[in-house]
Amino acid sequence: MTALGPEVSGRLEGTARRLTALSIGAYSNPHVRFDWPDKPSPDRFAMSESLLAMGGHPLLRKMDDGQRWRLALLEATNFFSLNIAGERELMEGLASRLYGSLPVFVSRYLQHFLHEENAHTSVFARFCLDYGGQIFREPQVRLPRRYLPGEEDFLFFARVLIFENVAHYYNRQLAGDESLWGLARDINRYHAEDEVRHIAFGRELVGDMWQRFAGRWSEEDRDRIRGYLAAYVQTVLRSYVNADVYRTLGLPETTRGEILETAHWQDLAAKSTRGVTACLRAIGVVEQ
Amino acid sequence: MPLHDREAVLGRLRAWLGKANPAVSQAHLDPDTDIIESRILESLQIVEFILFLEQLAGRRILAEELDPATLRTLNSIYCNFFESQP
Repeated sequence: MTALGPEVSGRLEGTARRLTALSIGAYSNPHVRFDWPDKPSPDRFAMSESLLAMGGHPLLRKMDDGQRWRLALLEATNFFSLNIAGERELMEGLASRLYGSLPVFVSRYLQHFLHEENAHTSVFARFCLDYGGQIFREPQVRLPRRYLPGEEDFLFFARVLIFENVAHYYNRQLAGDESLWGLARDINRYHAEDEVRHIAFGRELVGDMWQRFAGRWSEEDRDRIRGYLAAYVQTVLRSYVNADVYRTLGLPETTRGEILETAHWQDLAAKSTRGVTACLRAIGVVEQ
Repeated sequence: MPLHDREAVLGRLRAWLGKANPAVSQAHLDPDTDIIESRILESLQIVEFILFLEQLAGRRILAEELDPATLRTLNSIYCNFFESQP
C-alpha cells in the first residue's frame, strides 16, 4: 500500500492547487537571473559570520581576515553542496512518484516542485564550481531495508520536510544579511522564496499521511519512526560541519569533532531546528 | 597516525559501534557478523561511520569504494579500507 493514494484530504488538495498557482506566478529563469562575476567578491563574505560552524572554535580567532574570508567561502560551498545532495535525493523521489496513484492536482504540483529543485541545483552547482572549486561530496551509502505499508513514502516526505526546514533557516538568515557578498545573498533569497512553498506543501502532505497511517502502525513502530526522524534531524545538522572544509583549509583532523562540542554550534543547531520541531509537533509526529 | 594492525582496527571499530549502538554488546562482536542486516550499523550512522573510518585509515575514502558490501562485516571493512589501499 502506498501512502500516496488517491484518498488525500480536501485540505491537501486546496494547498496543492494554491501552490501550483503560486509557482506559475513565481516562475523565473535561473540561468539569466544572476550576474556571475569571474571571481568572488574579495571584500565580502559568502557566509554570515554568525552562521559559520567554526564560530565558537578557538582556531577561528587565530585566523586573519583572508583566512576567515576563505573559510566563509568554503562554508557557503558546503551549504550549497548539501543542498545539491539533498535536492538530488528529492528529485529522484519526486520523479518516481509522479503520475502513479496520485491525484492529478498533487502530481501537477510535484511537477513544479521538481522543476524548481532542478533549477536550484543548477545555480548551487555553478556557485560551487566557479568559486568554491568543488562540490563537496556526501559520503553516503544507501542500505536496503523493509518498510511498513505507507512508511517509505511517509519517511521520504518527512525527511524532505526536515532537510528543507533546516536549510530554510540558513536561507532566511543569509538572504537578510546586508553585509554578505551580493550574489551569495541573492541566491539564498531566491532559494528561500521557493522553499516557502515547498515547506508549506511538505507540512500539509506529511500531516495528511501521518493522520492516515499512524493509526495503522503499532505504538512500537510509531516510536521507531519518531526515533528515526529525530536521528535524521541530527544527521542533517552534523552534515553542516564538513570535515572536508577543514581539510581543505589545512586544519587538524580533530577540528570537526571539536566544533560539534562548542556552545556556538549547539546554539546554531537549536535555532536551525526550532522551526521543524514545531512543525513536527503540530503534525503530531513529535509528541507534545 | 593511520592504523593498519588488524586487531587494533577491529578494536576501534567495535568501540565505535558500541558507542553508537549501546543496546548491543560489541565487546565480542564477531568479525563476520553482518552489522547491516543485524542493524548494529543503521543507515543514518553511515556518514559518521565513514568519517570515522577515514580518520582511522588516515586517508580519504573514494565514492567508488562505498558499497553496502564493503561495510557489511568488520572483516570486509578491514579488507577494503585498511589492508589494501587503492
